Amino acid sequence: MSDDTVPVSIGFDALYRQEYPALIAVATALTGTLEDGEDAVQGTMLKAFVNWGRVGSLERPGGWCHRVLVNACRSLFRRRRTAARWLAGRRRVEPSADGPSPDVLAFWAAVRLLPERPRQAVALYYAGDLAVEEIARILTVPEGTVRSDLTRARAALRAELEDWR
Amino acid sequence: MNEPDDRFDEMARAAGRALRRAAPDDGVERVRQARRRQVAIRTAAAGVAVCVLAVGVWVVVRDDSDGGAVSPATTDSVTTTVAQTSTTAAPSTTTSTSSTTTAPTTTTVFDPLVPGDVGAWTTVDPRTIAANWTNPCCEDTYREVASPEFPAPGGALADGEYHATFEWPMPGATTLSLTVSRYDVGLVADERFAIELPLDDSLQVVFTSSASWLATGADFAQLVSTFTSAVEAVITPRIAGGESFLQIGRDLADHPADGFFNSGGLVWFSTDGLPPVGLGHYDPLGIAGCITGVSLVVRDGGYTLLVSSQSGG
Repeated sequence: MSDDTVPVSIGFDALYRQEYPALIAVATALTGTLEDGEDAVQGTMLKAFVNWGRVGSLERPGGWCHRVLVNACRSLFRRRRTAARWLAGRRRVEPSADGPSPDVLAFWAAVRLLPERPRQAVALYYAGDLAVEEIARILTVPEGTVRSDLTRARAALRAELEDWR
Repeated sequence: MNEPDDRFDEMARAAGRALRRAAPDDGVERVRQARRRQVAIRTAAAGVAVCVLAVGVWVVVRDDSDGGAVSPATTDSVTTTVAQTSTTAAPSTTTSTSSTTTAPTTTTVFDPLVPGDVGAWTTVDPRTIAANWTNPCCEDTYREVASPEFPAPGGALADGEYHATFEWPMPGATTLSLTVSRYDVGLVADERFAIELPLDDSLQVVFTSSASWLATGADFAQLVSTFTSAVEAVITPRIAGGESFLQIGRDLADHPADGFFNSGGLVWFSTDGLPPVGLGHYDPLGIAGCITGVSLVVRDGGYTLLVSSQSGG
C-alpha cells in the first residue's frame, strides 16, 4: 500500500509527483477514460494548489486529494453514466489503440456498473492501492463498511467476468 | 482471504497498476497556469456580472414607454421631475398652451444603476460577510472556505460559513426551511443539515442582484411574497395559456408591464422599495430558481443568509 502520510513540510510539487500515479489510476477507473481522468486529477490538484496553506499542513494531504478526486469523479460519472451504461451493455471491452489490455478495460468497465460506494471502494483499493483504513476515511464510512463493500464487489465482479472466477 | 479471493486480488491489483502513470513533467506548471487563468476569469466575471444586469435594467427602463409606471429613467440622478397638469392628458413640457399647468413636483425613485439603499434594504459589500456571496456554478466549484463539521442532529451549527438552499416560502410564511451543506473546496454532497430559520428581524439577509443589499428576514419575506404575487399575476397565467417563457420575455421586451421588463433576460423591479429580481433562470414550473440560496453565515449564534437572484442581463 502506498503511504500517503507525507511529511508536513512536503511541497506542492512533491505531493503532485507522489500522488499523481494513484490519482490518475483511480480517476481513470472511475470515469472510464484517461482524458476524463486527467481532467479530474488536474481539477483536484488545482484545488490542492489553491488551498495549499491548509492542505499542505494536513497530516494526510494525499487522502485529502483522493477525497476531492472521488467527489469530482462522482459528478463526472453521473454525467457520463447513461452513455457508459449503454456502452457497457453492448460492448464489455472498450476499444483502445494503446494502453491497458482488453481484460483490464473489461474489469474496470464492470467496476463502473457497481453501485457508487462499492465502485469507489474498489477503485481506491485496487487502482489507488490504498489501505481499507484510509479508504474509510476518504469515503467517511466505517472500515467494516469498506470491507463489506469490497467483499460484495468481488462477488459481483466474479459473476460478471468469467475469466476472473 | 481464501484462494479465489487471492487470485482475484492479484488480477485486480494488476488491473489497477495498468492504469497508473507517472506524473507529467509539465504537470505542476499546468496547475499553476490554470490557477492564473482562474483568477483572471473570476476577476473579469465578477465585474461583468454586476455590470450587465445594471446596464440591462437601465437600457430597458429607459425605453419603457409605459407612462403608468414610475421608472428609474435617468442615469445620473435618482430624481425624476414630472410635470403635472389638471387634465388627464399626458404631461407636456413643450408648449404653454395648457393654462392649468402647475409647478413641477419631484419624486425620488430608486435607480438600479446607482447603488443605493432601497426601502428597508441597505447596500452592503457582501464580501465583508461571506466568501461565497454568489452562487457557484456547480458542485465542484472551488470555494475559499471550509465549513465546520455539522453538529449532532438537533444541535446548533457552529460559527462559520455553509452552503445553503431554501424552500420557496409560501406567502405569509414565518419561517424558512434551509438545507445546509458543508463547504470543503467542493460541496460535501452527501452531508446535509436541515434548519428552520425565522423570517423575522433576528435573521439577516443579503440579497444580490444588480447590487447587494442587507435587510432582515421579515423584509426578505416581503420581497419573496411581493415577487411571487407579481409572477402569479403576470407570468403564470401566460405560461398556463401555452406561451413559452421565451415568448413572454420577448413580448415584455417590447411592452414592459407591471414591473416586468426584458433586458436580455427578464427582470422584475417593483416600486415598492424592493430590490430588482432577475428571472434569468425562470422555470415555468416554479419561481424558486429566481432567488436561490448561496450561503448561511453563523456568527455568535446569529444567522445571515446570503441569497442571489439570477442576472437578467
